Amino acid sequence: MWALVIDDDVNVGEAIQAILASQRFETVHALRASSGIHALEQRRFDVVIVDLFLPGMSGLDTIYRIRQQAPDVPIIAMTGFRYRHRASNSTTDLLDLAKRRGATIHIHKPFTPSQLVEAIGASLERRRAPEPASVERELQP
Amino acid sequence: MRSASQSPDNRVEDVCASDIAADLDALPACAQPDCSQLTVDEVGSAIAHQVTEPLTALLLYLHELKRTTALPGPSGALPALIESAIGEAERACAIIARISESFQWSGEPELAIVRGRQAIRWLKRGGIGEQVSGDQSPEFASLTTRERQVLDLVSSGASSKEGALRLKISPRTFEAHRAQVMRKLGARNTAELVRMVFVGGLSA
Repeated sequence: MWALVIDDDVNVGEAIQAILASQRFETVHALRASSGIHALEQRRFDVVIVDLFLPGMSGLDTIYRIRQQAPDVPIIAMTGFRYRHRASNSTTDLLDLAKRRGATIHIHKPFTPSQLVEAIGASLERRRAPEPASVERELQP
Repeated sequence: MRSASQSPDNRVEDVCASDIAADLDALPACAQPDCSQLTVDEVGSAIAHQVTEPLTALLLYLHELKRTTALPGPSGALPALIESAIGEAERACAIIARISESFQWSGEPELAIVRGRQAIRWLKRGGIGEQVSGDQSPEFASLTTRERQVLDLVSSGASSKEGALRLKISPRTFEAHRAQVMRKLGARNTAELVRMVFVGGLSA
């Protein structure tokens, strides 16, 4: 299985890579949206994990481009940004937008390995299921 | 794999409105906003975001450490210590989550993303330079002024393109300087280089 991680934080990318290695994933880590999209042109990936705050191109645009290029690949949108939206008083607007752009599932940073593995499993499952349902993974303190 | 068609559940109604974000990144540093042009909420969220990144890596590594030490073999007091370390990391995660959720963003999420990225860029530009130049190890002393500038930028998360733009040199030249810094400091990769800066490993 192949995973593409697009995150501008070198250390987070490496940590995800370490976790995915234990799950028998080969991981390509792209620091920028453009290199991630380039990687996607080079080979087929089973899952793409993309951060929403990337330099050069926003994660939302990245998701849109990935979706155009690989309509079937499960995309996990992740972000360390949590904020209370003034209007709806919810933290989900940003990630809802990611879903509208084509993300399969989203996950809040920081997350545990099991939450990441669960999200990957759910996104692979979702690809097979015709009707996607809302799943949100939150780290319980 | 490449296809122009969209599957029904991946229908995209709105096109890339936030391509403006790419244009913002291309602006020279002097044209980027400073702190006074950002709101308290934006700065607060950006700070929480920046702390969340290392916390994410820490949490992942600790759990992986726990998993690998749970394998058969003598490990002594390690499991209990790892359990405590995970407890502390999760406590820090919960604190930062509570802090970040106390900040509000008004306006559209698209705008919030663009402004959030501006705030992160502002944070990355500040503060870190002093930390690097404070290191007086022989390895660090061997760096040229240009190499120190490159190290400053790399450790603050700048890409080759961003760093090159800041120093008004080509990305290839920037990468050549970075390679030279890594060789002098004995770092195997960029991540190790960044770690060296932050944990003071330059004098090790």
